[in-house]
Amino acid sequence: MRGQDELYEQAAAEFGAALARLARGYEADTEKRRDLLQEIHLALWRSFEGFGGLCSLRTWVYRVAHNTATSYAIARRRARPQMLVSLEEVEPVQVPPDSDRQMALTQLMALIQRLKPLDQQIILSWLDGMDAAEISDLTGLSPGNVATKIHRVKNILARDFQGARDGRI
Amino acid sequence: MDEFRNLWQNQEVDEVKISITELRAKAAKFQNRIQRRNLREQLACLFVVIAFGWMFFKAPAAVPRIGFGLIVVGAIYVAWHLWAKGTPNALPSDIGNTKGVEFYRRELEKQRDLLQDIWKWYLGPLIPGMTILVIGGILDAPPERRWFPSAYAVFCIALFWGIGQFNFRAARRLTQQMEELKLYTVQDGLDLRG
Repeated sequence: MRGQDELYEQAAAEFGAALARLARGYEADTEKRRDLLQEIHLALWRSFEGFGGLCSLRTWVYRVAHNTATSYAIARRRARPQMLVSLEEVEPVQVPPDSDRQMALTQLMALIQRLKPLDQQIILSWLDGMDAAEISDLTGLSPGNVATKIHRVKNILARDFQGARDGRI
Repeated sequence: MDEFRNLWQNQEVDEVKISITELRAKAAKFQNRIQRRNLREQLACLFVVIAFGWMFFKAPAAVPRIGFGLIVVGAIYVAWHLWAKGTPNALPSDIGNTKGVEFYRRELEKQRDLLQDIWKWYLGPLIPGMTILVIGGILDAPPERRWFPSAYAVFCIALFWGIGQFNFRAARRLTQQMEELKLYTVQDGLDLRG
């Protein structure tokens, strides 16, 4: 079994960009996002003390990152209460048909940041390329429940981002 | 739908590069911060114990002496509770082995209990001593000056009630989130306590 430092270095090299994307989904403010990302890296390094290899490195990394971000989101909401919504409740986003990639991405992040933590985990993991089974392993939800949520995500993207999709993204 | 995944995965991001040395320093800094906070709490408790302990010995009558003594006992209990429960902000050591739903529930429950139980571990232990002191003050004061300990009692009741309400409201919001989480997972048949 490799050591804590070695595992962290491998994880940071393989998933550094994914962790940065994940932090963007949880925090809009640039400075706070950087702090959150550092917190995730620290939690990840510390977590490798207890890594027993029972799941893949990828699942471990995403689990630690999402759990750290969830903890951050709970604390942030206590200090600054705001209403988060579920995938079922989210209102349509007004994405202009002539949106370019950057605008579409900004709207997508704004949408994700309004979601409740578990829905954030699902949409972020799906966008990062995970399938229903992997997301189920990450979250603890059943694959059927996750598949339903992914279906909902796809519907929202099709409904709100159709114009941008037909255009330039 | 692949275009959305491509859009997401190919966005430009500012990655964070942290060396192991920096991580060790950050971990030590975090630990120091916790230790400093614990020390501050213990010192505050020590101050209360010394101040009210001194008043306990100097008190001219039995009633205020009992009041000061009970406040000392209450302050020691608060300090013990803070020490025994640890820091609420520390992430659990099994963070990588805990799936998202369970972790979310546990974090909500931890925060909710801390807020909800504030009467048990923070406000409640100080009430007996303060009540005895106020009653003693009212009984000892000449009739024309009884308004002062009475006003002090009203102020303390309002302050404690305000702190309690503030925390209860925050706890209620967290309980509501726990209920939402139960509904979210109802089709999975997960056993979510709390």
